[in-house]
Amino acid sequence: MSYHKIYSYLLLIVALSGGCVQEFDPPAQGYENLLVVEAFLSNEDEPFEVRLSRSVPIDTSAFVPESGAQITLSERDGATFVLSEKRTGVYQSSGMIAAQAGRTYQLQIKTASARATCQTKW
Amino acid sequence: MRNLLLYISIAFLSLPVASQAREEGLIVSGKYENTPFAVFAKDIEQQADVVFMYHPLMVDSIMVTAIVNNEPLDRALARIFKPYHLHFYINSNKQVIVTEGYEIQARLPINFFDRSHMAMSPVEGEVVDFLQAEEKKVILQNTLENTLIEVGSKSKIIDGQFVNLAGHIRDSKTGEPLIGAMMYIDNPRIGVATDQFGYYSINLPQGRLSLLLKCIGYKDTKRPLMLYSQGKLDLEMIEDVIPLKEVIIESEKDVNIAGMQMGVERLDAQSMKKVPPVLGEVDVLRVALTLPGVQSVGEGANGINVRGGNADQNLMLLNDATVYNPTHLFGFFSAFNPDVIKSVELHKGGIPAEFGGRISSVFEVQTKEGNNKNFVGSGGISPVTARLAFEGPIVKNKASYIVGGRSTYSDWILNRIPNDAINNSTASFYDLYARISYDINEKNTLYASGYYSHDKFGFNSDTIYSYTNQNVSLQWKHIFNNKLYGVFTGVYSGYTYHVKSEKNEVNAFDMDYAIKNINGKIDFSYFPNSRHKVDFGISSIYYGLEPGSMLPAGINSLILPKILENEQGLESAIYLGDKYDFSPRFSVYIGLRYSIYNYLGPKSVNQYAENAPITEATQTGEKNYSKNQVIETYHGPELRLSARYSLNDDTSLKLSYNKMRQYIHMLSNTTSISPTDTWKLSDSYFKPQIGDQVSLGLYRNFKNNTIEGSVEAYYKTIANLLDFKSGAQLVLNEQLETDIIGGQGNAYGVEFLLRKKTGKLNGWLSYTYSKSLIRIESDFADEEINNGAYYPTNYDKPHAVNLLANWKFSRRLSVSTVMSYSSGRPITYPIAKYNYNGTERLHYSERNQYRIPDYFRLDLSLNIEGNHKVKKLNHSSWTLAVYNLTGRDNAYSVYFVSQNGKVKGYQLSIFAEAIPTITYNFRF
Repeated sequence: MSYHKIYSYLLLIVALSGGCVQEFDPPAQGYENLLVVEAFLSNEDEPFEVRLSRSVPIDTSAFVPESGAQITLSERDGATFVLSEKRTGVYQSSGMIAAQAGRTYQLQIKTASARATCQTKW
Repeated sequence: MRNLLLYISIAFLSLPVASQAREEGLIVSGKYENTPFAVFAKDIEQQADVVFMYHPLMVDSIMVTAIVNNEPLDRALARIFKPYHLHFYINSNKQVIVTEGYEIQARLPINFFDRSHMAMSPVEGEVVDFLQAEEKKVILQNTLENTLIEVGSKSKIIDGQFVNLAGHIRDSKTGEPLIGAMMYIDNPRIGVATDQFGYYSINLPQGRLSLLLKCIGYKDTKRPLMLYSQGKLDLEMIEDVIPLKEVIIESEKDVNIAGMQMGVERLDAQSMKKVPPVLGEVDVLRVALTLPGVQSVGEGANGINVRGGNADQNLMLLNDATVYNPTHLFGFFSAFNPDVIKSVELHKGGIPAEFGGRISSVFEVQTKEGNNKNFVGSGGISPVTARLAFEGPIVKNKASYIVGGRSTYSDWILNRIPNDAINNSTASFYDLYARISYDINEKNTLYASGYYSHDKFGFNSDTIYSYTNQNVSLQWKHIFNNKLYGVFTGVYSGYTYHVKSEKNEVNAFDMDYAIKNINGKIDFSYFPNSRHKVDFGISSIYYGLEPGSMLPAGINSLILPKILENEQGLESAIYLGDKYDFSPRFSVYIGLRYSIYNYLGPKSVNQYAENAPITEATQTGEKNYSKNQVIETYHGPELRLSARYSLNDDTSLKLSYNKMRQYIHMLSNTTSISPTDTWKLSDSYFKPQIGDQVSLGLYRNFKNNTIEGSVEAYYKTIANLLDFKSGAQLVLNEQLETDIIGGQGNAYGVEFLLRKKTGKLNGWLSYTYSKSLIRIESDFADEEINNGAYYPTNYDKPHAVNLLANWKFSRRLSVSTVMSYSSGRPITYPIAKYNYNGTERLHYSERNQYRIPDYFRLDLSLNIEGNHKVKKLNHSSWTLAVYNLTGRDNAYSVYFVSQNGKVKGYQLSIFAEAIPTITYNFRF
């Protein structure tokens, strides 16, 4: 059943019962400002790209890219690649990176505000 | 001879020494016009030097209009009292005792001492014959209480022996068997409660006994008994219309303290009718919701949650037949017609072994058998619904019927609302119920009943939903002997729903779902001696499911037909339970039930890769099973234990443990209500839910048992409690196992209850603290919810306070109120929005991390009984009620809609304002 159906069905109840629908603001939770990391490491020779952005409150529609972060990709017991910001919020490796099967990689991000450094698990 | 002397002396002792009241000199005069009874009585008291004795409630609506001109007092009173059905008796102390409905007998009945013909026969009939014809309906309580009943034959008397006495306890007016009526003697303390057929069997010492009878809604009474040997005794009790203070047996120990059961609530039809109705209808489920430990997901939501259990964990029985959808009109009304209900019993802990198949509770609705003496009817009209019920004898005192029906005319109302969308909407329901009871002879009784309910609704001519409950049950009760009887039951239950959408030809479809079960069972009750009560039996339930089909409607529809494979299963059980009284203070119930469940073919069962989460991606193939081939079997013992220890006459301690297994589950996304909740049988992936509950209760009665207090604490664990993976699709899903996952449930709580049953002010107040949690752990992180930690279930509401109070101003006017508060239920909010790969996505909080606002509601109702005119065709009453008096807009649900790139939250309230209703009820 589609969401629309359930919604219309709820409206019927409201109509019958003298109920009402009001706007409702869920309590603020401080989750509005989460760092969103978009990255895809492939096994083909291509520049490794990471997009960083911030989540926003649900009742807004702005899109906020995250600028000025330091990003590195490390290969376990191997090389470390530093990414640089090409456009606001879009970071790229300078050379081609092709991931190899069986090896482990770690992505490390330090935002400009440097409140925290986050990294993926090995 | 010794015995004869004994009761002669007793008879004389217990009757007032009657003197001739028609004394000379008691002559009165006066002119009364709309004079309150009390003023009239005072005037007569002064003139005739007498003292009136009466209950103020009995006369508070009586205005005397009469002219008395030098008349003898007794003649004047007889004339004035007659229209009000008042009787009087003037004793030697010049006291005028005023009674209502019955006369005080000053003389012994004729042939009172010639009782040789009475042995071995119940005496009610005989006593009635001594009365005048018009008084036959109301049996003389006073006379009965002083009339010795003899049972058995004197030749068989052996001193000190216990012998068995069995029979039925019935309502004096309607012949309706009384459920849960207590019969006991005080020394030694032996007691028994009648079962669902109003039947009792008790072993009592031979000799002279005083039988004490108690039943909710009936006058407490006693019967002197001379018990010679084993015999039968049918007794009748008089309905307690106005609880009078004179009822003396109040000081006796109460059921709450002396009874074995804990975690059980019995509601009779009368107490249910005192609760303020919503939209003009008295509702059993709504009354149940005011009891501690019982909650609902929200207004207009289906079903109830008992002690932190899901709505599907309640066994809803209507005369032993399962009712799958117990509500009408989105849950506003329960599916049970209040006019045909006799009583409702809710077991939430210490569940006896005869019940099984659901892990939280048993909600047992018993209907009336029908009046086997007179034809009577009742009904009601409110702005939304109308109902009517008839009952009467087919063969007097042997066979009776009851037929009831309800319907709504909300369709008619909707059509008159000037709004096109609503105008084109439809919402209707009706239900029909019929039952026939036939006492073939003393040993055999047959019952047949049928129930049909239908709901249909649609919004703006778009999609039409309809659903139907169908039940048929046949029962044969056979009394083998005083100590053993058996009940053979056959039941058919069915539930179907249908969704139809035709507005858009391209998308037009018909969707169907059906579940049916056929249940056969045999239950025996055996009363070997005064200390044991044994129940045993077997049962088997066949389930057939049609889990869903979606078919195109019309030739232009592009909907692809989809039909899910049928399912079938067989659930069987055998049980034995024994209640044993170690001493009057200490008794124990031990019950064992063994249930076995088979999931049967034909079916193709999806197979998934081992050591991988069950998802569509890990499906490896299908395995086919042929017809009736056993696909999966689950079985196990279910232990039920209860113990009661009386600390003293007013206080008892009870402990219980029960294990329950459940093989059928309802799939319902409770955050949105939907009539399309489906039931699913346990299969290779859905393991049975297993519930374990321990509860401990302390019961204490205060003020001569007029106030009952109790505290019950419980702790419950549930294995294989179901929850949904995020984004689960429940309807027409061929791979439900990929969307649903079993977890570990955990619920605990403390329930406080204070109840006052009698007096001008009666009702109850309850407070419950409870938690209901679930943990979904898995080897695969993807399947875990909230990282495998315990989180609140959808129906976890820690605090709940309920007050139900009735205040009787006069015999015509009473006011009832219900106050209800509970914590808001948990909800998962979208808490942030983000952009990923060019699309907007929502980030949700942890599952059930937040709560919707707290719930509070106050209802008020005013009951006005019809006038007390002599000649009236029927008894009528008006109920004026206001639901949600404060007009608080309680959140039923909070939901989110994306509009213009923004996600907005909305709160839906079902009753956002005070809803007044007026209902006219009548009996004839």
